[in-house]
Amino acid sequence: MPRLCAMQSTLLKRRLHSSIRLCEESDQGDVQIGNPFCLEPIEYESRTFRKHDNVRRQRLYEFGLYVAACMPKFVQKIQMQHTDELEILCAPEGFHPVLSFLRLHQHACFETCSAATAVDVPSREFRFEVIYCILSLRFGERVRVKSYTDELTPVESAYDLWTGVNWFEREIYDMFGIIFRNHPDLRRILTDYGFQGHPLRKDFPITGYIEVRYDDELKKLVYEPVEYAQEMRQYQLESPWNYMKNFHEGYNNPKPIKK
Amino acid sequence: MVLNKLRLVSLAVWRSPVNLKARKFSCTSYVRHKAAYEGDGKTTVRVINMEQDLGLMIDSYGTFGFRLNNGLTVLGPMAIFPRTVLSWQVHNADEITAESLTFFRILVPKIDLVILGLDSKERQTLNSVFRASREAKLNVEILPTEHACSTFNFLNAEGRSVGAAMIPPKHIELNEDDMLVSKLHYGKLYERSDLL
Repeated sequence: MPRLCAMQSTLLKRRLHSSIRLCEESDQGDVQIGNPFCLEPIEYESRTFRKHDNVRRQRLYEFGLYVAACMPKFVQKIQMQHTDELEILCAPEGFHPVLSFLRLHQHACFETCSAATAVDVPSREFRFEVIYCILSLRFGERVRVKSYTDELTPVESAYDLWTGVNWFEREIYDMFGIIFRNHPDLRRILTDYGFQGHPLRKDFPITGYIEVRYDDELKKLVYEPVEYAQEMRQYQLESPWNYMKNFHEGYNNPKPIKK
Repeated sequence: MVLNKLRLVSLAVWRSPVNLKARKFSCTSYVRHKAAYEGDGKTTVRVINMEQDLGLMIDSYGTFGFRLNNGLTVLGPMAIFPRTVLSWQVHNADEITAESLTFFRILVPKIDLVILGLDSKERQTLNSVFRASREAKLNVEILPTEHACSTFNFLNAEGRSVGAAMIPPKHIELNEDDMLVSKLHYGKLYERSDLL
């Protein structure tokens, strides 16, 4: 039995690559300030909190640093989330090269794309963030690759890397209006035929602009502007607990000017 | 239908959980009476192109034009409606202007949606066509011809008032099934009695 375990550990070595040992095991305990490549191990005293596998977390971070070192021109930032997830932020010109590196390189092998989405932050100059969540079955790790674009700049499609990304990109195009270059079949997937607008943008209202109704007289579907059943409500905030009206102006009244 | 359901329920009662726990659960020991869905256990396929009362449908398309389900073959670009088909005077997608689309606007009963089947997939062309349709104030759906044909078919089968303007594609990828069907069509051309 122990022999089998030893054999297994040599054959199925699926740890993600870290070419340089940036952070020794011993470093993590001793060095207080020093090594920037050493993540502080997260330990909680409480047993009810989620346990972090610090070794795995450090290894994933080192892999992120490896990717950044391999492609310094394109990779702009490496982030580790508190849930031990790696995020690689890339420039838009380098988005496709970084993705193909992650798909094809022997130390990365991310041959599955589990999701692709976009995020709209209208206040930014490049308002959309395009995010690909990819999974390596060989190493058992997940990575999120992010890039940014605005409404008019097309993004290179990742269809030649992962064919499953076809519908994901169609959905991003339909919901946000981000155009993908070299996509085999970019058209709407979730919205109605002839629908105008991109629903998941932040400036698109929740109820939309058009509503559909079956008209009995005309015996068909009729498209009309949306009719609100209630008017917009103004909320008055009241506290259920009594408070000293002499000493508090109330939540709805303006604050008194200090003399 | 109700009798069948009763039969299923009684069988389920016989195979009570107590019995299952007594021996190991295995799929092979169950006799499957029905498939997972309701009905006779058979799948049915309904080809909407065969149903004549649903309106005109596009059976196939080629670089020459289109074949419709009433036996008509239209050469070149066409404008198709629930029960009418016309030829359209554009050569390719670049020639679509607001003028060529005004026709769809003046029809009665009002067309809800116009499907434009284009031959090219370039962004430039799609943008110019979209702008032309915006000038003509049409509710439009711009698609490649292959997808436009099938979209028109099932929207027509639903009974919506849709119109479609199709331009035959420049290139098609043939597979053996397509080649066989077209050979049969041409082979039997002179034997078909409905064309006389």
